[in-house]
Amino acid sequence: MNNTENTDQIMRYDTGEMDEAERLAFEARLAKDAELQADYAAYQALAGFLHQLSEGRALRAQWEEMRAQVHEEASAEKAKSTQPQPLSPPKPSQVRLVPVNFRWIMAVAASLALLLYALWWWQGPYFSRQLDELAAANLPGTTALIRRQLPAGYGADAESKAYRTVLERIEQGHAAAALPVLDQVAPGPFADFLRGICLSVSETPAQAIPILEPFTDDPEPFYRQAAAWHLALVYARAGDKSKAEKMIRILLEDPTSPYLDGAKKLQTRINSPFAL
Amino acid sequence: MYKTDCNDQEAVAADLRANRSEALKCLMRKVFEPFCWYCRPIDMADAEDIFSGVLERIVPMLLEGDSFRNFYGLVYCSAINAWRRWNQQRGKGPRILPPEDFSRIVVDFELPTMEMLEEQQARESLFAAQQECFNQLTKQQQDLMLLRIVEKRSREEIAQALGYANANVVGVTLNQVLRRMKQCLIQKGYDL
Repeated sequence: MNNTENTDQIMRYDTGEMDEAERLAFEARLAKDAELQADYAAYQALAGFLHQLSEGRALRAQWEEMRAQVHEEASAEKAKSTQPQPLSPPKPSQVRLVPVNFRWIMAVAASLALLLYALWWWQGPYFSRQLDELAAANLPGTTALIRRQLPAGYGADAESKAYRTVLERIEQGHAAAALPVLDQVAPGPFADFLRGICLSVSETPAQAIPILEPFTDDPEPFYRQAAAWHLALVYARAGDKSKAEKMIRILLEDPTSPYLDGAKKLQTRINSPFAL
Repeated sequence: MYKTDCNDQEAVAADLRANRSEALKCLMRKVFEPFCWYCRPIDMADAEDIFSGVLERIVPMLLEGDSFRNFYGLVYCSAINAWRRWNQQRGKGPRILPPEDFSRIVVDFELPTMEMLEEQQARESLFAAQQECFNQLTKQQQDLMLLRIVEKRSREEIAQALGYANANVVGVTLNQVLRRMKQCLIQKGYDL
C-alpha cells in the first residue's frame, strides 16, 4: 500500500464504485501486476481485520444486552420470591389459638420456674446445713446448763458418772451412744429430759417429740427453753413450719433466754421462701 | 418461533452470522457457564467482562473460517487463556497453559486439537497486533477506516460525516492511515 494510486483503485474496486469497464481493466491488471497483488493482499488483510473489529463490537453489544436481560430476569425472579404476599384474612387452619407472643411468655415463665426449682433444690441442703450450724452453736450452751441442773450429790457415784458420760457423748456428737448409758440411771423427769435431748440430736429426732413436748410447758425456764429449742430444730428439719414457729415463740417470750439469738436466726431461716 | 440447535455448532455459527440472539444463548449455556465453573471462584462481572472480550475478538475471526466442528472448543479455550492473562495482569495465577494442557478439561463438546489451537493463537496474535496499531490512530482516523472499508461509504459522505474539507482529503487521509497501519504492523513483525 505504498502506491497511492493502487490504494485508491483497490478501494474503489472493493467498494463497488468502479463501472464495468474499469472493473475489468483492474482485474486484468491485478492478474499481472505483482505490486498491485501485494497491495491488494495487504488491503484485504486490513479490511478483514476491520470487519472482524466491527462485527466483534456488535457481537459484544448484543451479548451484553442479553446478559443484562438475564440479570434483569433473575432480579425480577428474586424480587418476586421475596416480595411479601398481599394481606388476606387467614384461613381457619392458620388462625392461632394463642398469639405468637404468648409462646415467649410461656418460655420465660418456664425458664423462671426452672430457675426457682434449681434455687430451691440448691437451698435444701443449704438450709439443712444452716440448721446443723445453729444446733451445733447452741449445743454447748445446753450441756452447760444441764450440768448446772444436775441433781445434788453429783459426784463419784455410778449415776453421776453416767450423767457425765451422757453429757460428754452429747458434746462429742455421739448422742445415740449416750442413750444406753441413760438406761443405767434411775428413771425420772431429768433422765427423760436428757433422753429427749439425746434423741433430738440423734439420727431419729422424731422420737424426741413426745418426750420433750411436756417440757415446753414446764414452769422451770431451763427445761422449757431447752425443750422448745430442740423441738424447734426437730420441727424445722421435719418441715413443720407452724410447730417450729410455736416453739420459737416460747423462746422469744423470755428476753433472757440463752437461745434468743438462735431462735431469731431460726425464725429468719424458716421464713425464707426456699426453707421449708 | 425459531430456536437454534445448540448441539449443532454449524447452525450456531450460521445464526451468529445472521445476528440471531438465540445463538448467543447457546454460547452462554454451552461455553460461558462451563467457563465460569472452570474459573471459580470468580466475580460474575469479571467473568462476563472477560468472556465478552473474547466474543468480541475471537468469534468474528472464527466465523471467517468454514469449519465449525470445534467452534465451542476454540471459544472456550480462548476464554480460559484470556482469564489466565487477566489473572497474570493482576499478579495472580499461573502462566498461560500450553495448548496440550487443555486436554485435561472435561466439557460436553469436542476440544480443538493442538494444531488448531496453535493456528488460533497465531490468528489472535495478528489480531492483537492489528488492534494495537488501530488503537494508535485518532478516533477520526479509526472512524474513517470503518466507514470507508467496512460500511463502504463514498468519500463524499465520509467528508460530510467526519468534517473533512472534501472527498480528496478523505482519499489522501485514508492512504496515509493505511500506510501507517502497514508500517506499524511491519514494526511488530507482520509484513502483509
